[in-house]
Amino acid sequence: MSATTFWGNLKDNLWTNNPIFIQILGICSTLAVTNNLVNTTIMTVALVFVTSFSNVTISLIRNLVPRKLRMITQTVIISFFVIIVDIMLRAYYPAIHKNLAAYVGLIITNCIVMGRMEAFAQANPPLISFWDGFTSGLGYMAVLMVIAFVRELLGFGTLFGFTVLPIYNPVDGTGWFTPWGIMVTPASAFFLLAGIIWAAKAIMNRPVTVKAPAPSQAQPVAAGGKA
Amino acid sequence: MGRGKKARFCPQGPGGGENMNKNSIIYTIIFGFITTFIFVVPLSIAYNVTKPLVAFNSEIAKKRAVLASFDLLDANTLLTNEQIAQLYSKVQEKEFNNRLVFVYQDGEEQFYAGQFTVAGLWGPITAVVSFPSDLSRVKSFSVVSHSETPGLGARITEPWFVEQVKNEAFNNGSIAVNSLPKDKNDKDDGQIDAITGATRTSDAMAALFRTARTEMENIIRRIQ
Repeated sequence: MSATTFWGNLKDNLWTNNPIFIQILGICSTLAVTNNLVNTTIMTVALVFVTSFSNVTISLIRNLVPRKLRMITQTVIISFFVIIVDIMLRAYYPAIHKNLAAYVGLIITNCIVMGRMEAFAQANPPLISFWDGFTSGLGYMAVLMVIAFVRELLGFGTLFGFTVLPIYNPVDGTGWFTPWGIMVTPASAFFLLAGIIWAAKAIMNRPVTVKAPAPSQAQPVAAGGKA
Repeated sequence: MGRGKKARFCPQGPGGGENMNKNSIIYTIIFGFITTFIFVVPLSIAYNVTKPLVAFNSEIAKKRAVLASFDLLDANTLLTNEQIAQLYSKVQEKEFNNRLVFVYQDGEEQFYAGQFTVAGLWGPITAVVSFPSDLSRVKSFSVVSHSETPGLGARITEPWFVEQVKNEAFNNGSIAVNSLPKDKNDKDDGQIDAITGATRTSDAMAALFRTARTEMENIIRRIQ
């Protein structure tokens, strides 16, 4: 399906061409920030903002940019949006800034932002470019939330900071859950991400069931196809 | 003439609009200059406009950290700036050798706090650490700023970590941040639980308590 229609683009970025498990972009932050759902949510929302607005900006000036300055212009635009977010948070929402500071800086290094500018916004009109940035961010968000869900649940026994699995306390004997230390460290994200890539590929490459073959062979093939 | 130039400066072949050569050196320089100007000027304006506000916020953050280290407020409660200023009036600021010391009198007991900085994994960790006047224990601490890894080292600001430091006794002038403390609920053994996956940050915290105590000892000796 064409990535230049709104529905086709959404499907492309969420599934058939997902930035994480197909394009393998933005892996650093996937490993680093997914052991806690609150942090992951903040990071991914900020990324959706930056990809959307960087894409629309580069698309607006795409006919003016000289080839040699293409990437440097993209970097300037990404940095502009990231720093503007940082300054505004620092001045008007200091409490959020304190929790978020490290993530905002990380967005500049996220390959998805530049990848989408280079692969899409450079060659498409502003509106669909904005949408492409938005849906790419959503594709990233979806995968990271799944990983963070598993890591926070098994690593801390909590979800969004609320206790779900009561942790065993040897002193008073309450609780029963022993947290998995590995889920807290970035190594676990490697395993989980590999699992997600495997699952996604397995679903995508599953044998296609033959729908309606020629009438003369209809019955035997249909039976075989189901097996 | 014009065509010749175009070919020389544009090895990838002709491109761009009909009227201007986007790959010429002149265009590239002008474009680069204008783009940088357009994006950087708003940033510097935004930075300078918000500068006083940022300075004010960092002053409030310092006051919050001091209050939190004296257990006068929970680091996560939302208070208005006026409420913070009002609470802060209970704290005295004293200066010794260009060092600011915060003193809080709670009934008979006097507590001291200071702002200390140690090297963390990615950058400096600045925290307010408070002590009872005999410096036998850490009363509490509150991180003012840090750049530790989110989800790992950054967990030093989480309540569970702060709670285990509260009232922990010093053992030979230091508190060990161990991966396997004998009993993490024991407040007298000078051992607290480290953060899994953040050994360097845990070491930095041990260094923070050690330096804070040594520096505070020198300061208090002069005061008394």
